Amino acid sequence: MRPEKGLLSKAEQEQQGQRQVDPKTQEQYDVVMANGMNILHDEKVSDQIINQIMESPEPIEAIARATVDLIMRLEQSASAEGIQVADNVKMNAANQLMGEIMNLAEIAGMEPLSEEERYKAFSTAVSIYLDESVKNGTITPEQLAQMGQEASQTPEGQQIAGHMKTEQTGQPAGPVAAPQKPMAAAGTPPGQGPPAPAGRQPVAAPNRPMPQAGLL
Amino acid sequence: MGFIAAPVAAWALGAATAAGATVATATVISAVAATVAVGAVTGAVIGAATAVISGGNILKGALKGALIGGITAGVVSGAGILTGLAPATSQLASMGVPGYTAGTGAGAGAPPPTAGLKTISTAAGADYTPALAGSNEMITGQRQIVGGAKPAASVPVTPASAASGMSDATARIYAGIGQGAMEGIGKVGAAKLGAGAAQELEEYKREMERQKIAENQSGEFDARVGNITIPEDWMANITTNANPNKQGLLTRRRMG
Repeated sequence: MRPEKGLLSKAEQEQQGQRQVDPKTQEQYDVVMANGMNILHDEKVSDQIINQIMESPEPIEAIARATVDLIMRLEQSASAEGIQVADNVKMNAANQLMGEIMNLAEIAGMEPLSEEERYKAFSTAVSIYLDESVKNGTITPEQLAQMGQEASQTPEGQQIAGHMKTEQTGQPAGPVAAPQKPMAAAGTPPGQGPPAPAGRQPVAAPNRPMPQAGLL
Repeated sequence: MGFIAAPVAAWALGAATAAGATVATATVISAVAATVAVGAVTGAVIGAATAVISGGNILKGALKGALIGGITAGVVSGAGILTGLAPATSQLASMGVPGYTAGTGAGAGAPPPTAGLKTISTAAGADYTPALAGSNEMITGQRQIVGGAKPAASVPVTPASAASGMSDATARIYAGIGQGAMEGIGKVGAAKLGAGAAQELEEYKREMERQKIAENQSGEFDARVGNITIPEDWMANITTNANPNKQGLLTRRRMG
């Protein structure tokens, strides 16, 4: 018996690497990117960012901080309108906006960054964001611990947590067990990277979902 | 924060979408690959959470976790960390070992190439350098003198004993170092041989000096003796002493 068309269409899409994207998540991502690009390409803003990068003894860190400033500004703008930006949206938007910042800096004369340097810039931005978010109260320590617990349950997280455990002798086995939450549906903007692993469940946005492979 | 002077565009979902937001996203090149970004965020979150629980620095914990995430993702080479995840070829290339090129990504990687390793065949010559064969030998620094002759330089070698658990890549590092030291004339090998020869020469000179001093002492004694006026009766004894078979006074005294 032929399966329903809906199921067959979904399977075909998955085989082709396309995934169903949560429309609201996609829309949120589009808005963040549109606002971010408008800000970034403002003449005064772009000149200031480029000068900071070119004059800094640590251009990679300057790129990271510029990206964090931009993302946090967008987050505040959304929060002022009563909208909470999802973590996966922030992650992917930061990745894209940082790429644009690097592009502008390279046009201005910065040496092209290697793959490892680009990774260093992105990981530095994520680290700075987490640190400042806890300091300003956007993320509570308990929430961060819960995020860590959820992240350590992913395949990548298990591998990373294992390596960290070997370097921290005497440390507790892992974060305190937190209540399990449904995870957000993985989604990919058109033309944006490989699909996330199947099986992820939706996460309610007001409960600060953990970063995941959504929108990839 | 605060570099943004202009107010942010109004947060209107419909308006922003109608402004062609998808066009902007389609033309932007990301900083890192999407999967790599997941690894960075996952690692940073785990590291930061660990730091929060242990009371450590959140920023450092996040950076550490992100670094581990990058290593597991194969983006960070880890050359300075020398973890087991980094390919041996990259580590060897970064150390300047000839014959190796930097690898990409984590994992076991292919066995190191052997094209760059040369077979050592230095024949023994006037410098007494023993013949060497193969690339698994290294200078031990011990010297062996054969017979009574003092060679200008003698640098025997002993096979490098591979430590238990030494990886093939590490053994080749030692082989490469040993090879570089022993390969004909040049670099470390030449310096060591030259240093050994110079030391040997100094010792020989010192010994010659000692012998010369001893010879001088004998000569000086003869000179002093020569200046002494010997009584005639003694002269008879000395004259007879020219015959080794006949002991004279002085001879008897010397022997005494």
